Amino acid sequence: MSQLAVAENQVITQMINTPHFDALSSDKKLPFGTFTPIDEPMKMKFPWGKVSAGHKDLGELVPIALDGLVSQHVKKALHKVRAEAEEERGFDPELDAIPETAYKDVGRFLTFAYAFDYGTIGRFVSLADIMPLDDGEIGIEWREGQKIFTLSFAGDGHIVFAGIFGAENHARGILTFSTPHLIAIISLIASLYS
Amino acid sequence: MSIDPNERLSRFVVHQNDFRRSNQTVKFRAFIPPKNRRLSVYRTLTLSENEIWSIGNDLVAKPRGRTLYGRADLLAQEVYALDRKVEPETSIHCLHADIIPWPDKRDEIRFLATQLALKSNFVPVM
Repeated sequence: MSQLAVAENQVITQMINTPHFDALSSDKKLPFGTFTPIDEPMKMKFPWGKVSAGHKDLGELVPIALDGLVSQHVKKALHKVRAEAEEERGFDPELDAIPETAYKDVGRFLTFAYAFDYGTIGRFVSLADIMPLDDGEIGIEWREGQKIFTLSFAGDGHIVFAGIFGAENHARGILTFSTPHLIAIISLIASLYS
Repeated sequence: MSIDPNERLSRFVVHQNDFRRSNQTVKFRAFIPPKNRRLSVYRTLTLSENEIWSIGNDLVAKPRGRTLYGRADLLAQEVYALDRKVEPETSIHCLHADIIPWPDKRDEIRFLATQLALKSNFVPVM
């Protein structure tokens, strides 16, 4: 079994052990609307009233152009990262630039996470530290006591994750940017706070 | 020369994004290695606080035009427990060392940096 397959198995195993998995595993009615799994157009009605219709194209599967609260939060977070990254490169021009695709992926992840966060697993998104990394990626970190979870986005269509949830209880890997994997990652983040 | 497992290693923090002000913890960003894959630390067990901060200011912060915010301390044994070495590299300072080796795979680098961040203690600059 490849390392990626092992990592995916770890994620899936942890995911199905979370109390939220039942609510997330199929075409379910969730507090913020209905979640439709991959390969079908996604329809999500958000609490602030915006209805977004997705498409089979992964690039549009996660609604990006949301008006209102989520969009503002995401834009603000990305603006801060961009400003900090530019400042860092001002100090050290040899640092790798963060590609635009990384900003786009982080925006898609945060938007997706906000949607799942609402009324389901607590407002953990607001607890995230989002930061530019010196190697040209964007990092996100959650810390809860002696538990920690980190993500990084290079804008290459993958998400790198590493989490430590206690002694002999950790996960790491690289996943493609897809709806099931986003759900798995969000479940892992949620487990920090369970 | 081997470094005693009980020696304290300090990584100087010169980025606001490397630590969390709210609970004074270190973020994984602080332990992501540079392109040469040698994570710079200083052996600070034998130094006074003033001497430690002088090194941080004079050898780390000022040459980069940065502000010194603090340091991330951890014991060498924590590094050894992760199957890494602490190799003295004294061209900069007699107490300078590098944490090596670093893996090639991105997730392994992130995991190692995350482990080091979790094991370290943040000490704000005096």
